[in-house]
Amino acid sequence: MFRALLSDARTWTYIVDALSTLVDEANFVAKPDGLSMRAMDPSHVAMVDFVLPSDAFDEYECDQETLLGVNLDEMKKIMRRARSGDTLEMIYEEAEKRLKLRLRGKTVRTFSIHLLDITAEELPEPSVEFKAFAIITADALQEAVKDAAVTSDHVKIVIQPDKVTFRAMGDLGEVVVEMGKDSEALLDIQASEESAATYTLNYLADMIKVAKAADTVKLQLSTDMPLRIDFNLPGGGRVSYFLAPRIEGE
Amino acid sequence: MMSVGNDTLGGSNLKYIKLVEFYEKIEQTTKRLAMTDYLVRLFKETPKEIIDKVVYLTQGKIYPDFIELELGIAEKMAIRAIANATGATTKDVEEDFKKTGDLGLTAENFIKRKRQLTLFTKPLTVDYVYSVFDKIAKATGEGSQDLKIRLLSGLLTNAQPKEGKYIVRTVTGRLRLGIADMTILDALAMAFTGSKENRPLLERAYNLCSDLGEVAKAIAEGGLEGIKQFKIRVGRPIRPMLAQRLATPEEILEKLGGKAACEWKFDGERVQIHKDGSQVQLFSRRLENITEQYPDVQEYVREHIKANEVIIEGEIVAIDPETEELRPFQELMHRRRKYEIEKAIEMYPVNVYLFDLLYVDGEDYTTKPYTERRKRLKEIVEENHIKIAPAIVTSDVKEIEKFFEEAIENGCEGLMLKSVKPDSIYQAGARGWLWIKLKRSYQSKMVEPIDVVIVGAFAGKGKRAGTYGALLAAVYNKEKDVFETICKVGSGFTDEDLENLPKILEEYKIDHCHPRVISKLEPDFWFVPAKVIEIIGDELTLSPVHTCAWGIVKEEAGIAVRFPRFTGRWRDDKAPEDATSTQEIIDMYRAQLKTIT
Repeated sequence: MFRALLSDARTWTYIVDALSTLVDEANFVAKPDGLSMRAMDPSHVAMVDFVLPSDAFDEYECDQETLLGVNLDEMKKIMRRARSGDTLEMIYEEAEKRLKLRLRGKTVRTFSIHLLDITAEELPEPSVEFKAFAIITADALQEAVKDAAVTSDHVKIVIQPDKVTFRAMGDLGEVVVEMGKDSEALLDIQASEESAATYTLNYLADMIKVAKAADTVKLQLSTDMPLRIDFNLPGGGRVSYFLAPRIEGE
Repeated sequence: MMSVGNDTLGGSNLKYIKLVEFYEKIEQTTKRLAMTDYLVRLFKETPKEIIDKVVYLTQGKIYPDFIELELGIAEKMAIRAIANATGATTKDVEEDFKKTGDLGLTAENFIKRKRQLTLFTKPLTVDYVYSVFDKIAKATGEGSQDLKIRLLSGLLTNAQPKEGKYIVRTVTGRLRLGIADMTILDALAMAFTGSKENRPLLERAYNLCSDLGEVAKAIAEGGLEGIKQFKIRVGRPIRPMLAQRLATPEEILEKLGGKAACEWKFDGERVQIHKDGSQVQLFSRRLENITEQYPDVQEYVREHIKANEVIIEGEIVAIDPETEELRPFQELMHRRRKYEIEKAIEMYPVNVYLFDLLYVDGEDYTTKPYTERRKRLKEIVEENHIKIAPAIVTSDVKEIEKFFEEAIENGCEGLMLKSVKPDSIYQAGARGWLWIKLKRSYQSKMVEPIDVVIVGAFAGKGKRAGTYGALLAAVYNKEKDVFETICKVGSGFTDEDLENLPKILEEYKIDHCHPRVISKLEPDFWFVPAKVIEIIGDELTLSPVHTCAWGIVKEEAGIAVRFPRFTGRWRDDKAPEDATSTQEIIDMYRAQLKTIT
């Protein structure tokens, strides 16, 4: 059996929004210690790794590992109906192979979705040795990505021992966003060597959607290697993304 | 393309890139021996479990021909898949395709140009690529186009540039390496038995199953013993035995040892019928599965073949539903369709004329002589719409000629002359001298209608009970002042015509052949030559039964109309003596006589 309660339904709305940008269908794994999902986009460019531990929920019951195959678009549509102040209760109806989503506010609304049999391959975590990381505010990342998109469809992220730079070069111009040690946006930084790689903005734009649910974000990279972005969710739990780099122009 | 993680996509460990390297080598050679060598090396490296898949893929296929599934990716769809997988726009891909003219090369170009890396490169295995091809082929129904595109772009995402090239060529049906079946059999023999000498054994197995993949698996897993044990199986077509061709009955008889079984050679679609209980499958001469086109034939087989498991061969022929006269081959082509089959069955009904039996209830008949096969065939067929092809056994040239003319006149292509010697086995897949075709070397097209006199009629059956099935028609011989028969005509009449025929002809009915009518046929009713109708046919042919111009063009033969039909015009303005004359028929016959090549 599986049942979980979140006192703020919108937390789940943000999470589902974020996950649905990469994949249409995926399995949530409910375990006694929490709920998780790992999925890769069909082109193998990006991967999402989501964990919400049991204590991040207000109530959580799960006696054994259960796969919940979900069409994320469907779930997203339902969560769009959540109102500020609503609580969310998720209940797995084993006999009917359905997941109930109950929004409790002024009224009690129960949505059921059919679960899918999704055969997904085991996804290992990409094994990358990161040479640099920076922790910045979620807002700052969101703004930097939007700034870069003004001129280009990809952005070069550079982490030096004392600053993070986002640099986007387009046909018509260039955008540079810097966060130095004196910046309020930069909370922590470390670089054993200067590390830089270029990433596609489309993917990043999708990934930062979850920033709404997080305060801070950790960026990790090595030169011309994948980027890892960790969003720590306020009540515990995290959403991590891996994004493969682009090769810069010939 | 570089990437980060590294593990293999797919189970068995032959990498797809190995196959691609082989494709490249093959493309660069035109020598069959070199091709065989490459194949041998490839087969030796291939794990036994997937040897069949590798064999299909080297031929640009994924199944044997008799399985109807096809990869079926249209260029448009492939273009979308290439765009999805490489981040290009479909417009870019289309433009590059215009330049290269080869979507495979275009795929290669775009994968090379791809800037976006992936998180994992998963080296493609043959097994994995095959499994995706299989999914693509099997995707049907709503949303299947999108699914096919997704599956293909998923493959291309993981493909190296040259892998992409061959993947796209394969799915669009453009992988044409030109490796002949026999080259593959040679290579299999060399790879798994060490010698080409053993090819005949493999060839035999191939002839019994028409499936190179199956043969490859048998030799790889069971060795020579496995191949020797290879057996016919209902549901797997046997490669058809083919015939040689000679011009005259004399030559053929000599070749066959002085005696032959002569069968009508129908002008229809050759079919190999596999019946397993109530399940019936039909295969064309080229081993395509044509079961769905002929629900009527399936039914005839289920109802009138008295054996549980059987493989028989025959010819499906279009017929006139009223008279069961044969119709020309072109009419059968209306049955080559996938929709509105019911309507086609009604408009273009068929009969099946069986001529051979290859297997029945556990017993392989291909190794038995012709006469034994034919005898067993007769035992299991309850003739109805499924019949046994008319045949005679003779050593007399005259008799063959007569039978030949009869066959032609009735709408056949000619005769098939078959050996009746003890060694007259069914040589699957071979074009040997046990069967020899006797076809016409000339024909005389009929270009204008003629007016004929009704001199007799045959009673109708079935829907035509109570009226006439066909009329016996004659032309006028001015010199002798007699009417000579030229054909039986049963086609072209409307229901109304048919209903009225007995009434119209009643007053001319007599109980014997009219003295001025010369006929070798005995119709059910005789008439005084009076009524004239207009008919047209496809050809004028020599006939052993019709008396028109008897003995003039050829000894012991007259002239007849082949595929005659009523044009709808009653020539009441004409007296019987105004009908087309024998001399006119002779002139028409000679004027249009042309050699058939």
